[in-house]
Amino acid sequence: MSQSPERAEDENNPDYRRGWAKIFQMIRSGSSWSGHERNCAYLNTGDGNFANVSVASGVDFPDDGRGLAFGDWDHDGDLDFWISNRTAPRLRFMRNEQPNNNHYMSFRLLGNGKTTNRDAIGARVEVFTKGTAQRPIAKTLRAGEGFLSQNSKWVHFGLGDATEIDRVVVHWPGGEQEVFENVVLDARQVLAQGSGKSAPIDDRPAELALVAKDQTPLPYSDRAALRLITPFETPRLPYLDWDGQKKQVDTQNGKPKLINLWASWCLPCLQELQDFSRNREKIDQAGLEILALSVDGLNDNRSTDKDAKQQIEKMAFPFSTGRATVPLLNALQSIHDVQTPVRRPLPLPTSFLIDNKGRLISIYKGPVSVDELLDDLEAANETPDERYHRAAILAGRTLDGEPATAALEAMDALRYRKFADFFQRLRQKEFALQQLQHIVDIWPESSGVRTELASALLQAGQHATAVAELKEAVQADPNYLPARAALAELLLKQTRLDEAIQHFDKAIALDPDNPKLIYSRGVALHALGKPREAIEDFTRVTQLDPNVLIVFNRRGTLLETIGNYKDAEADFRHAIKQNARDAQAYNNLAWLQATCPDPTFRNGERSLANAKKALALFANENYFVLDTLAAAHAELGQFDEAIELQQKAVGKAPPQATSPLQSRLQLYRSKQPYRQTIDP
Amino acid sequence: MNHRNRITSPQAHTLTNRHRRRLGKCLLWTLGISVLLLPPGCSDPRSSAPPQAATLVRSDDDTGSQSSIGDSRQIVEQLKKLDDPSQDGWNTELFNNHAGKQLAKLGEILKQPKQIGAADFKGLLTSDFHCSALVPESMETLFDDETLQAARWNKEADPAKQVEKRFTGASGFGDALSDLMKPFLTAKKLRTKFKIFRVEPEGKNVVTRQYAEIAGFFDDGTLELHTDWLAEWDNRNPDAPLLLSLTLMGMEQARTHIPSGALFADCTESILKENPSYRDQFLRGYMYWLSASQQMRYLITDNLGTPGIALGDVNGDGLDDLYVCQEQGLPNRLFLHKQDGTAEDVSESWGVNWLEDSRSALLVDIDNDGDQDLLVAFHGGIVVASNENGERFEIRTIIPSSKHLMSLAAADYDNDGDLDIYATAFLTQWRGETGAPIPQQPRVYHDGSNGGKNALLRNDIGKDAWQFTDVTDEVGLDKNNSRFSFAVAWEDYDNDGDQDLYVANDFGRDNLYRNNKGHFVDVSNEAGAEDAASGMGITWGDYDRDGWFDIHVSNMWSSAGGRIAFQPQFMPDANRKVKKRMQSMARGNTLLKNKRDGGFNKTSADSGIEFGRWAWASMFADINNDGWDDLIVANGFLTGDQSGDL
Repeated sequence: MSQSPERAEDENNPDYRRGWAKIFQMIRSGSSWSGHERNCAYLNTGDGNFANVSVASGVDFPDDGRGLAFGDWDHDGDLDFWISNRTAPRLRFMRNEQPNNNHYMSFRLLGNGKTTNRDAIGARVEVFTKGTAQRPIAKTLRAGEGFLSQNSKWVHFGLGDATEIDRVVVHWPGGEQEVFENVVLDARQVLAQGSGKSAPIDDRPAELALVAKDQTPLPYSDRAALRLITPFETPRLPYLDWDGQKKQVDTQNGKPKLINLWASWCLPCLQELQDFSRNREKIDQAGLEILALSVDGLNDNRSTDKDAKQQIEKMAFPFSTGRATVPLLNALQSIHDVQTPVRRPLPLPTSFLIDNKGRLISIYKGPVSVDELLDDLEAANETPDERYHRAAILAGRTLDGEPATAALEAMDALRYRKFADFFQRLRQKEFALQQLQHIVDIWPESSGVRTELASALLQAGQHATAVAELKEAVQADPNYLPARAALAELLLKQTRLDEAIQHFDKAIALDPDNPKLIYSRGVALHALGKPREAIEDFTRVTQLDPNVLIVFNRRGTLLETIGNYKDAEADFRHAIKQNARDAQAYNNLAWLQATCPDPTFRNGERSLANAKKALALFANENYFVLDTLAAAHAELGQFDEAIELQQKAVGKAPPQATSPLQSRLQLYRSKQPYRQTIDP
Repeated sequence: MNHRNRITSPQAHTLTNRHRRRLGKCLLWTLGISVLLLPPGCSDPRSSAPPQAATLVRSDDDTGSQSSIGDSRQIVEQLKKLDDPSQDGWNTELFNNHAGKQLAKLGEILKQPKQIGAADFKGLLTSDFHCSALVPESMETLFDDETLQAARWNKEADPAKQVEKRFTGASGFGDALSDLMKPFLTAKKLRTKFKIFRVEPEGKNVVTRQYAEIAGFFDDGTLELHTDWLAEWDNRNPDAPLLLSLTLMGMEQARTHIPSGALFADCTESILKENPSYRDQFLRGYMYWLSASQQMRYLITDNLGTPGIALGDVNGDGLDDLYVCQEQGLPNRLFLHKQDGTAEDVSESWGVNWLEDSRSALLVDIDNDGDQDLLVAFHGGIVVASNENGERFEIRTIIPSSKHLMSLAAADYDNDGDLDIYATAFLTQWRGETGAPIPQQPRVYHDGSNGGKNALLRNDIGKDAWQFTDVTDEVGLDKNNSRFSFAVAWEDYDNDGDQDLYVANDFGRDNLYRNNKGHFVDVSNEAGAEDAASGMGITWGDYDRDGWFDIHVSNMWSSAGGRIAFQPQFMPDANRKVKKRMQSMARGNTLLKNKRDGGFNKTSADSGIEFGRWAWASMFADINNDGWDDLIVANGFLTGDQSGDL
């Protein structure tokens, strides 16, 4: 039991999440959780107490009971009931065996169908017995209670030793009251609304075939055919040939395939292989390729791959063969585990059927017959309805109509989501993306799922496709902010600035106070050479969230370019004040103090000190800090130092950044300090 | 949720930490794919788990005698570790395991009542062990008729009546147990079970409370003892704690004299055996079906099993027929009740063997034409099918729902002469806010409020169309309507002529909606009917015959929950209210007595029904025709086929 969070904000408490995860893992592998609990029965003792008669009742089965439905099934005047269970037997009919002489009456109510529903659900029935001061016995006819259950509509009254009934009053839903005086003791009778008379019916069957007998559930078995509702794109799977050469199961060659796992000591496996051999013609006609992989000798020393090879040769097995490997078993087990809630080790033999599109469509735990295989290959398997029908464990029918289809599609989507997570864990990005694409195909109108696909595409480095997907997403829902924002950011990253700004505008219209969006638009405007508009955005960011420090450096730099040195200096100082380790801010301030055309802001000594501070704070000796240091020295007239540092800066700078550095170097060589120019 | 926090940027921005944290939290909740968007370190811890080692287990035949060829040890070890209480910090859970083993030994001794005198209790008792008498000197008679006698004694309820007698040492313990087991000497079969429900360390010693159930089966009936013991243990050897003392705290016993042996007998096979579906479908447990199932929508409820059942006379022959709901991939079944009491599976010919993941069904005359129609809540909506001449059902409409529907209940809430439907939903929608598929789990265990929305569907069936209108919001049922609702039942609890509604919710508070002429008000708090616990079932009945209907709510009585939640170190920093609520989560079933003034009193503990285990459906029903409503409670959460229980 893990500790529960106290507030919704604690919901991501890792202990809480781990607690759930642990519980699910245990249950999925067959552990119990409050299992083996027995049903209970409590006898009302009439004085506010209940006596625990669970054992006496005979209903204390440890079945994981769920539903209860009461009714006098055998019409013998006492209440029997059905109980449904999770564990086998899943149904029990419990006949009331009590030999007491208590009296009863049972009523079927008929509403008039106008003021009262025909079933008279909601009617309250009161039985007044004669000669007692006790209050009436009251029951209400309900439809649905307990848990997933509905009782009989016969309203049953036990009457103890009462021998005379004064009257029965029915409070029909809607408020009408009706008295029935001619009711009959120990009988079933119909009370029709408005008749005022009870109509007894004698429908007690003469001969009943009911016999008390223990039920015998069938034992648990690992054998099962798992026909996948949602086909699973199978990745390449590794195996070995008999010489130990590495091979791969090619699932993409357009042919259906059966991967069969067997061992030389496993009798059902050998019988199954012989069955395949006998049916070779049928199998070839269907174009099915069989690959029988032996697991002999894997984590087990009762046999070796040599035994397996001998066996195969002895049998003259006509299909492809080879050896399974531990990674293959791991892969197949985890492919199985992602399909089903019960995660148990696979039995032998186990086979995986892959269709001609490379999709896993069935897992057979235990032997499979050739007819079953070929049926499964041929079965219609495209629409959700066809797939669901094929996957049914027992025969039945599927519902038609939009809501049913929508439910099946949603199930597909959820499975694709699980598959995507599965492939993501295995770092099979292409497969993960394919699953997300399936979800988009199911819900093409959903901007959300398209945005998720786009995010995954980005992760996989497919930027162009991501942009296309996000464009679809904003088209599907122009007001879906995450898509709009992601698209704008991505375009900005690709320096498609006009487009980016266009989408930022729309995103900001949807969420006007989002500092992150406004900041990004500022960056885009800056890059587009619109410093004044960018400054406006950055100013807005400082108002919305003064803790975003990067914005001060950005804005300060921009202010410098338009000649507003005073505010620029204030921005850099503010940044430093907020974070004394802001290397960028020191560097920016030092640059201003060394190179500002307005002498009031220049101060060579301070510039040098700040540049040194920046140098110390940056992890590396960056070329742009060296550039600032050189400028500071030049401002102080120390041109030898300036030249030396500037040469170093040029050496470290990336090629596209060297040209302004070179021109400054020329200046220093001619013993001139550098001065910024103002952007018109 | 505010969209603002959901923005994901392809660019690495230097926003402050504060922003980044908020961003991360919002995204974490959408699990799965959104994780792809997170920076490393924020990812779901589970996604980094290495794939499990594969294991092949051979199954030679159906009965599955298994011999492992693969390295299953790894998994077994892993599981052991998970199941090992010493690993999770609750030392008392470890103690519970060891003490439980000692009690099981005691249980084995009790099963041989004739040999108790010869038992030496080696390794079970300290040398200075002492105990009270384990049988009270007298008990209060609860019930006494020709077939059944029941009596109770409770130390805490009546401290004046102490058990005076005292026994010491092994021989004394033998005497005390002999007295206890004397009535069982002639039993054909004996069953014992212990459940430790409190563990409190006291220095070197540990004090526990446990229920002991002793059941004896005789030729003429049964004897059951439900006793409550206080035990002191010497824990110097933690692997095998020794009993220092034992004190009887309470006892209840029931003895029957019934020729058939029990009050009820299982006659299922004789009713259903002629139907192939009986053997093929109902003699296999859900654990088996799950191994062929791809039910992986959600978490707990993947494995729950939802075999809803409904009784109703579908062919008008005066006999109740049975409809059974089944989970994904298994067909629902309709069994027609025949004159000889047996039942015939007619699901195929009646057109109702639906494979959809079904939860619950109602057989009601929804169109007021005098026959029983069928409604089935499945994952995807509610099928409404009309009864066609008592020969088959025809689907008239499917009311769509993206919620995880559970129970259905019909009533004429607006008293207009037709039946309306209330449907409970456990989990929310298939698709999260992004439109992407998401699984859900309660965010706050003791007060979950991110569950599915229940719906009241007004019956607007007309001549041309079978129409239902969702009126949940307009009638006021939208209040507190996002809990994890398992069950519902209608009743006029305030005797004002209209139908009120009780909804049992898992993970926290229930809802009592009072109907004021078609408009509902959630009065659960003021009425004292919230019952903050793990509500799984609800039944109404006038158990005290005062003309005002009372409530029984099925909850879970988890001994593990009791052991943990009552310890001082359990949520030490939580405020008292939260802690109390957490404790009540595992506290058992609830009986709410109608006070006749609009309120309810909780009388569960006094009336003796609290220990109803992990309960699902419960039903008031007068099983012995004495005029008083008794209670039957269906129990048990998940029984696996592997050993070990949480």
